Amino acid sequence: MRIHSIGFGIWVGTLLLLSAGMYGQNSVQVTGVVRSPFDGGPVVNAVVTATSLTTSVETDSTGSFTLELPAAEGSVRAWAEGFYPDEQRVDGATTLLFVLIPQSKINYQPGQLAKATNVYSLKRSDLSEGALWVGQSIQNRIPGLQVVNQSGMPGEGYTIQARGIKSFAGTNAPLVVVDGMPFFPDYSASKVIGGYSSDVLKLFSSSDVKRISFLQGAEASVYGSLGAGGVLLIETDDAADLETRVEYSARFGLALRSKGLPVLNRADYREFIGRTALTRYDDMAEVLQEFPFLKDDPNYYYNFLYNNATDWQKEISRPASIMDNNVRIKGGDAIAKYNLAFGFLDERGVVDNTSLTRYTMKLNANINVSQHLELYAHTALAYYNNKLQEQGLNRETNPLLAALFKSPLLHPNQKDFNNNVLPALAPIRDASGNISVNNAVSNPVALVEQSQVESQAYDVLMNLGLRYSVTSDWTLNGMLGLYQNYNRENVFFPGLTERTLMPLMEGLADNTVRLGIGETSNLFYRITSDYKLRLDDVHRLSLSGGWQGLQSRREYDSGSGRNTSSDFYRTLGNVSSIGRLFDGYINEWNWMNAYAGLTYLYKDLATAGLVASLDGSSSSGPKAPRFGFFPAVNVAWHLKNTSYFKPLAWMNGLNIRAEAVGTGNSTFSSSMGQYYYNNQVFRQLSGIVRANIPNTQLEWEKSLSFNVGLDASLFNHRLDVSVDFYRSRSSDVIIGRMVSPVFGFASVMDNLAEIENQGLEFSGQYYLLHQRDYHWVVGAVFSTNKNRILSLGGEAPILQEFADGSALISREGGPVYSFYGHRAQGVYVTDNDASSDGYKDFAGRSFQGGDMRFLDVNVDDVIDEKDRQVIGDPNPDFFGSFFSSLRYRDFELHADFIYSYGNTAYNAVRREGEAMKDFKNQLSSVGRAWYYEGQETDVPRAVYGDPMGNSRFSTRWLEDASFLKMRELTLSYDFSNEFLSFVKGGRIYVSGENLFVWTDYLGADPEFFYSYNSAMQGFDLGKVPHPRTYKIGFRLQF
Amino acid sequence: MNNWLVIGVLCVWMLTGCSDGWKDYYNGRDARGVISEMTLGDYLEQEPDLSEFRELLNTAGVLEELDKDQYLTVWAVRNDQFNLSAIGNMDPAHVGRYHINYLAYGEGNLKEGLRIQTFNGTYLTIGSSALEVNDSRILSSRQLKNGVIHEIDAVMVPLINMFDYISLLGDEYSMFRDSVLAYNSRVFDRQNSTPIGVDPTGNTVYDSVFYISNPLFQEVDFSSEFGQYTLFLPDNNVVASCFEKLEAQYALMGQEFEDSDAAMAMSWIKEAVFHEGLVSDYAERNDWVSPFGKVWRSTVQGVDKGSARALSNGLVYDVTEMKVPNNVIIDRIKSLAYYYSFCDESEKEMYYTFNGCTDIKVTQGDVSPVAGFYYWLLDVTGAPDAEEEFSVEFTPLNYDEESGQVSVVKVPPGEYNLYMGFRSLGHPYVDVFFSSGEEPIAVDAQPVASEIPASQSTPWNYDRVNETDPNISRWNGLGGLVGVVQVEGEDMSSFRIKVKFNKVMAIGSAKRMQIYHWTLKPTANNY
Repeated sequence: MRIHSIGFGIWVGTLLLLSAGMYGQNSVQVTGVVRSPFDGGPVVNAVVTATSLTTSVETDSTGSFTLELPAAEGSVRAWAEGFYPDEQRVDGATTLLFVLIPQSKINYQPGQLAKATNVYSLKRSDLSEGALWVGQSIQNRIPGLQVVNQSGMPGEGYTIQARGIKSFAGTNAPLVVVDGMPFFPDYSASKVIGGYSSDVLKLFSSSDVKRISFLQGAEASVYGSLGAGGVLLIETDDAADLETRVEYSARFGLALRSKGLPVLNRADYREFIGRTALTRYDDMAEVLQEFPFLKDDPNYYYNFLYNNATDWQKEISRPASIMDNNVRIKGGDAIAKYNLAFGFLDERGVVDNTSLTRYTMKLNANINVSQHLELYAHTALAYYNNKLQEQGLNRETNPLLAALFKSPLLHPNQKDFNNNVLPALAPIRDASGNISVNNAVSNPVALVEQSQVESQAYDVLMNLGLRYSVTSDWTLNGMLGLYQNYNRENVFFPGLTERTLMPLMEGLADNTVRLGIGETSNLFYRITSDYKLRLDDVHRLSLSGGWQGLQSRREYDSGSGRNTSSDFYRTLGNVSSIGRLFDGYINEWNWMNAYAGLTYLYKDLATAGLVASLDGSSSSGPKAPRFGFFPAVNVAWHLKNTSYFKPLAWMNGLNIRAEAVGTGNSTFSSSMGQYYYNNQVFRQLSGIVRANIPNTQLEWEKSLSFNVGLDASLFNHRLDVSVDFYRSRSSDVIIGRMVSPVFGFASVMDNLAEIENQGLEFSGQYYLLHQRDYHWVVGAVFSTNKNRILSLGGEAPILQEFADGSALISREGGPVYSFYGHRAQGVYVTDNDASSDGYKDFAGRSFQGGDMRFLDVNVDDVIDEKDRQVIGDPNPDFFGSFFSSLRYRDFELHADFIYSYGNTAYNAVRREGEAMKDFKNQLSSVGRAWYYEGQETDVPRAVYGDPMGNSRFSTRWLEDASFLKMRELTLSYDFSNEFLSFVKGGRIYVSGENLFVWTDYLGADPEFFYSYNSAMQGFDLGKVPHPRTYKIGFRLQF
Repeated sequence: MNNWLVIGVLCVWMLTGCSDGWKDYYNGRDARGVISEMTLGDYLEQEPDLSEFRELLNTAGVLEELDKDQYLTVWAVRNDQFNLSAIGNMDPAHVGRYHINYLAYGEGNLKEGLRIQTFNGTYLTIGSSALEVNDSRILSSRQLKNGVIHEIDAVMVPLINMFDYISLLGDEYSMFRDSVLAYNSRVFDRQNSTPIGVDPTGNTVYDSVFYISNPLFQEVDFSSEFGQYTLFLPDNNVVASCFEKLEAQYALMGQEFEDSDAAMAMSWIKEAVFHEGLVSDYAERNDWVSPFGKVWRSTVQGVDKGSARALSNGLVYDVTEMKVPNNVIIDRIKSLAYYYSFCDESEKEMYYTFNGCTDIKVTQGDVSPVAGFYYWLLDVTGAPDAEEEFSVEFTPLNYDEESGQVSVVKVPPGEYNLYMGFRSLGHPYVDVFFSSGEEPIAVDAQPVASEIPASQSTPWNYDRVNETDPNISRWNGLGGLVGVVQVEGEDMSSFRIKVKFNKVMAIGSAKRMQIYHWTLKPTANNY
């Protein structure tokens, strides 16, 4: 946005200088050549103008031109159809070389050659064609920005983290600014739909986007204590010209489920049951009674129940259709311009009966009220209807887990004794209502067909602004923005009438009702002033300043209950009075900021900038200083314009940059600095209890970062490289400070910790071939981040323990959120092996042959929780993307890859599937479970209940989740010829997404993020894997 | 051109580079002991050394099970060690079915004491070293596609379960057999019954399965394979002779041996002959206490130690001689002192000795808890100032109301608890003496108890305490415990009781003893 205003300024300046008409008596002849990057060929008929002339010349067939200038100063500008304009200072030179950049250039960074701060942007044409969502279209494509697709569930979003984890209590996501307005959605995971976090950016279709930019440098510090994670600017498509244009774009696709996890087949499952049951029952006769299928008795009456070989993962999934339609009308006149778009999207999920339907309307308008006053407005409305299923380690209700664990011998449907399949789904209970041991897993098909997990939501985003040009150099801008989200989540799990699902709440809830309603509203206002000052030809200055504020409120209310009188009654009003619960939160969060900035440009050679902002937020404690000061300074040296580099024809641009930026993070809950209360239910009464000790001195977290960068464009702009190195130190990071238990709470939140992040970011691309008719370009984005806790302010390491025994630890000297658990060292081959170690568990039981060997860290021969240590880091060593684009005339083949390296993941699904602690089906790897003395294997013995804790949280479940994924492969054809008399042009394409994944990760998909919570990075808790998607699409202009 | 080469290499890499680690991990089955694609049936068929064993399975009709879709364990014997002589006249098919069971028990599953149900329904037992099964040794094990085959060194003889053993006992054991099985009841086993239709009234019709329930199983489930029990088995002769002895004993005690007594004795026998665990050395213990709390005294009960026979869930010994213990047949022996009044003069002379008594009479005592019943007392008074002994000594008598005759009480020798009752109101402290036989109690005999404070409205007040009538409170109990007494000799014997005045309750009280009753109750030592 500011980039554009700079570009705009240069334009305006050029025109002004032209009109000034400074003619000198002793003219200087300046000659030059305008070349294209197409193998350095000439650009014929390029228009060349000089700031000191009113007329222009055109290049000849060799691309040469000659200008008679009054003096060897000022600037000369060259432009040709299909190219971006280029401008150079004369500065006494008599020959000039222009290499124009074609508008077809991929990932063109406007102003790259005069880049003074760390900004990276992607324009609409650089975004992938098939991408439906904003997150998808920028996935790992911006240096420093890690974008992870949470799951393959329609409606789930992308977790975005920039430059490492800096905060425990606040967000680590960048600030999202949409059309100039900071956007504060509710990033919380749903409280009623297990494992679900709604995509906060699903309001925007990627086809609505004009440009997405990511600011990490001085410009981000305009946002003060919101800018610590960088700023993601989303600009939506506006009305660019006066011609009325109608555009229809559509995508149709088919999503196919990716490979499922291999589970034990019929035969192996029976073998597994036979073995495990022997560890549970003393009498084999009892085993045969509970698991009659272990006998092959053709006369057994109930054989029809067990004579199946069901692939449950297949049963709950299906090829899913995707449809996205957008109609856009742009146009207007000199007074008013508009861009009106309607969209309808229907994305079905590969898990049966999951889908997202979205209706959108978008209107962007610009009205020139007078010569100086412009009114602009952006409006986006969307309504969503989302059908979902639970995810995460919800064993009873996550259909993916149920499908893994359900016995393959059972059939989804009821059958009669003649083996005829009946339409009704198979219950898990017998005629007396008891759940038999061999059937204690929800019927996965019933989960997808009979459960109701829904969300209906709408978003309203609108802003209205006035831009007043006081003079041609001075503009005033005022804006008022509003964002409103309403989200209703509805859950019902039957079980009383249907008898197909396992009861919830430890067997108490035969059926379950949940309802949640979330509301988010943001109100934003801003007044800014921008002033450009050209002191002379050498010194240029721009000044800006502004005042802005944001009020945000997030409220969520949920209730749940159980055991309505029948599965037909599905509302909270029908639940039994025992077991009613309610929950929720109210987060009010306000922010105000004033900033001022100054940029100085010396002769196109060097830039220096200074930005300072002063802001305060409601999250700081009432006795803390109310306002924080966040300064930033940046300098850049545009080396190409120095006399040494200027003559080098192969060198088209070279900048070096350095900046020091002070930002903050106040995006933590407003409730830490003041008392807040939680509800507590006692029988039928509810009350509120104090939930914290407030820290009235609590301040925002501070972040100071240094960034040095280099941008270069070489060989006729065929090679573009940008490298940045950063180091940031976040201080006053909020963690819990231990307090005396006398207070009734273990800790109080305080500004104590210090975290350092450093890394290298690289983006580059190279045109292997570059001709007007064809090109082949490859490019890559690469980011590293090394995260380290410098200090915890004297507090003990922060240990976060989860219900399943997994744990994260954050300790000084190590990264934030390391996995903390046992180190597994293989399986004891024999009893002698085990007894030579002599280890016991906490209860004094000795390990035996076939048990896991765990490292006895404290050498006390007892394997217990004191033997846990840091066992993995979920943060990747590096991540990014690369692409290859091959174009011949109007055909283009584009391949996009994303990768992540060195991130450790906790494969909780595999843990569930290899624990062998009950009679659920397991992953096929348990086929090699230890079985006899002397057996060398990596899977321990199967023992009912896992008494020795062989499946405890350990390195056994941590895996290298590095991956390389072919995110998209697209073949497109552009046509500009008219057909059917009304179609003027467009594009047709086919694309495939997630076609290949290269990884050693043993889960369904190495790419997952449980929620927007950074701590959950690396927890693979049974999210829907990303489907393989094939799309065909077109864009038609009328 | 190089560019195209790079593309080509990239494409080949992409297509071949799909992760093998994933497949290896999930599909990798490391080499197990000896794994084979052969089924158990194939293996037996192609192994000539097992042909005789295979023929045994064929006889048993289970060969086809070996190729079915199920996991089995086979306990095979090679031809050179195959010898059926040990099975006696047992059906070879039954033996064959004993060598095969459901589920694959690999070596790792064979733990000491593990019991596995075989195809013939009985169980085999893994020995202490886990290389033994029953009395055979496991020579080698082989993992096959659908199970495990263990080669053992000898044919296993199927053992019969104790319940089946009792059920199959011959008529020479009919008394014991039938009395045990009489408790059996058949219970409908719904879970294992197959619905085969619906009757006209809409009720489900089952192909019904029943199981046997027996209240004895609550303490000793000798139908289960998961307990180990020893049975001392009496045949009809032993039971009959035991009963004969009982009858004689009853006659001497002056009692009729009634059906209820026989039932009580039989009930004791049923509960005393079962013992938990295996009794390998009968003489090891004096008393074998059954799970029902009955004492089987090895010094009294005759057992043929050489007759031990192994069952699948225990041992059985033959009983040669059996006695129902005194403390089982005798609950209590009780009579009243006032039977004195039914004696003629010679009997009074013979059975009663009074010392220092100034007045001897039978008087009516207090009203009892039963309407119309009065306690009758032997009421003696002594001279208030006399220094000589004031006592009553008597041989306890029975009184037959029909004939109006008294008779001397005889009891089996052994140890008893003696209880007595007095009219306690104002009663003096007394000493009580006891001796067996008809001779008077020696002058220097030690009292069973001295200074019994009978006045204290304590247990000695009539027979109002200790094992009173469950339906009427404070009625017909044992009375107050005096102490342990011993009836000497080998045969039934009479005895004498002396009650001697010790001191008055309070100065000025009358020197008067009012004796109501006595009771003998066999102690646990009175077998």
